[in-house]
Amino acid sequence: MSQQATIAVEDTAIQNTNAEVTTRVEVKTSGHGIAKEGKNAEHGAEKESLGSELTAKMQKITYESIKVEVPGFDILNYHIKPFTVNFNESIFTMWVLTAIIIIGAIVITRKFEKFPGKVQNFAEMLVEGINSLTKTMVGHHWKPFAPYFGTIMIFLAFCNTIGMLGIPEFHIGGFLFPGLRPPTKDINLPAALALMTILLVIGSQLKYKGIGGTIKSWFEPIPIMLPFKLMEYIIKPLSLCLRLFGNVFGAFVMMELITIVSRRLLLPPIFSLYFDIFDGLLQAFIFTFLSMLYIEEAIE
Amino acid sequence: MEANGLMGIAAGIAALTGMGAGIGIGIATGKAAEAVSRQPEADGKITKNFVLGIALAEATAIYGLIVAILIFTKL
Repeated sequence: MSQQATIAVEDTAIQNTNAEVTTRVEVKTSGHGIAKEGKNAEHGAEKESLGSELTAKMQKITYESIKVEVPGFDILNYHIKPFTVNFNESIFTMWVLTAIIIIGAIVITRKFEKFPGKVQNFAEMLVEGINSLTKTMVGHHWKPFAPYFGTIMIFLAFCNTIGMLGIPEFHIGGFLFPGLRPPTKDINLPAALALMTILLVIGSQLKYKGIGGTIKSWFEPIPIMLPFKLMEYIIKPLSLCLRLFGNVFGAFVMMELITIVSRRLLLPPIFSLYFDIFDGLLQAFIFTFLSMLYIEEAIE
Repeated sequence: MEANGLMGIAAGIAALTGMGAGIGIGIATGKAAEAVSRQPEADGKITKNFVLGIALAEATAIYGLIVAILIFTKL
């Protein structure tokens, strides 16, 4: 952590993080290499290279996903010169997705008519579906919460499924842009979303129940529940965050392994149907669903 | 080398959490199918509870996976 922070401060190149990761992986795997060098001559080099490739890839993926970025350190990385901002892969993907969603929303909702066409029908169906789901889950005070849930559901649905396009890194005008991979496989995004949800839970509890009601609810049904009720404020966001992160990250690792093992033949698109599309949409739904449940629990 | 082998075993043991999740999801699916066949009109509510249940049951398997990967990659 500290080593990473110091290096991040020193480096200014746009892909310093990537360079750091590769050097670190090399350092790690070199131990294996020396130890196995004798055996390498005897066994076939083919199997060994596949194994070390797998290990190196998994270490790289895990390292990229688990590292927690402290905002205080990160600000040092941001240079105001045009586009020397140290793009993190997930930040870049999030920006692209946000732009797509915003432009899409503006284009779709610009020309609404009395007799809806296909696009307008779809948009109305989406909004009504989210509204009715929020109404059944949250209850009386559903109205202020529906836009939030709609936003995170659509955003997460885009985030989790972007990996299936498999867009690699690309250069534009000398700048290296990272490829589009699911940003939710970086633990920082699910953590931020879970924090938003728990803040909303606490805020709505204070608003609809009042301070007295909130404190009173901690002692229901029996006063001994107090420590558990307080612990819930930590456990709820933690489990929300880890569930989303773990699912997307696990699916991503599985897809990478399948891609390497099958040598990019035939298998990846089939498994992508489950791991990217089905699992991604399900996790987006479940995150929203659980957020609704927590809010309903807090305000009813 | 021995440490690597032990790490592999440890990661494997951590991934055993999948067993519990599998049993849990199996029971939940069976009960959901029973409930739907008994009361087909309550399909929507059953599905909602079912999805919530498997999400909670699946979480343990996910924690196991994360721990296994953390062990395996020495982080």
